Amino acid sequence: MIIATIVIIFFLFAALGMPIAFAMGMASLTAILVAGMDFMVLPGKMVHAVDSFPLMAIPLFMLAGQLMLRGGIMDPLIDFVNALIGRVRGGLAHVTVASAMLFSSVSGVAVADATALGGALGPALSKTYPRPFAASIVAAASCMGPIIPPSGAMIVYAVMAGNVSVAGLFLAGIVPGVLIGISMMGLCTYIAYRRGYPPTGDAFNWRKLVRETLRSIPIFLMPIIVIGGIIAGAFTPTEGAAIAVAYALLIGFFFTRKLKLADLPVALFNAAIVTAVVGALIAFSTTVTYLFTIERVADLIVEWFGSYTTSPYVFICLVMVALLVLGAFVEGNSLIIMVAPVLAPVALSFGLDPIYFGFLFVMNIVLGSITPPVGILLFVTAGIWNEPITNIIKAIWPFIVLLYSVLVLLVLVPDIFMFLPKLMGFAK
Amino acid sequence: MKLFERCLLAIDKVSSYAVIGLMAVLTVVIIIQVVLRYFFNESLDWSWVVPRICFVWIIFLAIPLGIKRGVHASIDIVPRLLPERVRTLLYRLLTGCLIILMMVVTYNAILIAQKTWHYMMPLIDISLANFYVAIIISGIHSTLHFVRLIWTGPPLSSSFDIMETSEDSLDQ
Repeated sequence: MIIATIVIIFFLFAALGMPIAFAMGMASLTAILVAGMDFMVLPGKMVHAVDSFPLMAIPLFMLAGQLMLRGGIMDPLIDFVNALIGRVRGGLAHVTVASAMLFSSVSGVAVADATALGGALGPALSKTYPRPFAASIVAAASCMGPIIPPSGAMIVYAVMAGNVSVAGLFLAGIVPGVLIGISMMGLCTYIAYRRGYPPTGDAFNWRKLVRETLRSIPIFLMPIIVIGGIIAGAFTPTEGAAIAVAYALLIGFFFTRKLKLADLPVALFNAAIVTAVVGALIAFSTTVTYLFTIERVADLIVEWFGSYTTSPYVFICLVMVALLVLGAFVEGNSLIIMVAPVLAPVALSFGLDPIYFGFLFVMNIVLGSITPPVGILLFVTAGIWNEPITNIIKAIWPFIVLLYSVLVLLVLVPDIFMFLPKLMGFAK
Repeated sequence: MKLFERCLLAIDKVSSYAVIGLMAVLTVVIIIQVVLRYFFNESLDWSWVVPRICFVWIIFLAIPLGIKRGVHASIDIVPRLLPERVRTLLYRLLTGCLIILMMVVTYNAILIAQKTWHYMMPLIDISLANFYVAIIISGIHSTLHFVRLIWTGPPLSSSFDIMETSEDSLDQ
């Protein structure tokens, strides 16, 4: 009865357009009423859920990304990528994808990547390519944000699932992130030749590449120090994020010298707002998770799955299909916060490694962010380019097919993303 | 209504500056803690408690600021299919439900705050009830925004233009 109440009330309010966090709150409120429990459970659980040291990594990484952006790191990054790629057909599309890969290593949020890339490369992309294609490159490339570490989505997943190492998930994301980047560049080359897009950029020059590499080294050092430190166990993700903020301040004030004191309040405020969005979801959903635990929902799901299959691969495939469908309608972090606490223990009971399940879970969520009809990145780029979303959907489908192909490949050959976590002892 | 809007704007401004200040304190304290631990092999006891307090307060103080900007994720497929008048009516009805939710949360947070007022946090002389005070302020502030939204309709901004809207708000 309690489970049915939660599910019905949540879906009713969410489908009618109530923000998901508050729809969770309404479901909790009604379920508490049905269960005859004390309403004081609600604020009590809300505080307990967000009083979390690991979660503090989210605003700090967000802040570091914003400070790096406001500190003007996009210019040296793009100059470096231009020097590396030289003059090739579809060159600007390559530059966009490669810049997204590099920016993803300092930012962990796809939307932040899309706004940064759209701002820095949008005008040039629009001059060179049709606007829907330009927007679709940025939307697709931004998907690497939460896959290449650091990743806000991975931190949220690790906190909500409860038994997963953030460092292990970060490690799992490195190879797929690079794989996606390289295959996306291959696709851009194919599209450029097929549609006759002109070559762009200056001819390749070793001296220029060395000069731009030296200029960009301080930027490249940040992910090496921060992610390297987290993976090596030298510091926690939250401490790593704090180091990233300190490093971003040094880069912005003393290296690029483009960061101004006036930029700090806005960067701090933006980081806080993003934290509140995730925090509201966690705070309001925690009572639902608590009631699900009391009602043994995870056990019921295990029993239900067990009556059909005992194969972990069938389970993971069913979960992925469900996430792909849900991910096309529900925002990523909301989905992680709603589903991960329920499904992570079920995955464990099927004998799936927490890093394996966690990474595939996050990857599914990320792909949901560019999947029509409501992928958030489609709306972001439609907003930046002021282009109807239907035009972007028409242009982005080759990238969507590519990303889902990579996902299928990762499911079929899990060692592609699991060998690094295994090598470092995060998975068996 | 104008007086109400002006008062709400003033509350938003105070809350925004509080959020910025808390975010700065959280960041600086964690950086100091990391530096002390790795370079001087020292640790400040209170430095684990202060970021916790700041973090909880940031989340609850910023929730109403997020409501103002319409950044809390929602699924708007069904409302988009409805005629304008029905959509507006539905929006007001849902916002009314949210006022009830916030009032229940706020009232119960007041009850817990009263019960926990005399319990102190470890390592620092601050009442445990401070967390619930954050919820109370957040609940009241959110309720005021929902009341305003019933009057004015949904905010025009959405989740992807946080940067622009936040800058605007700070300049107000």
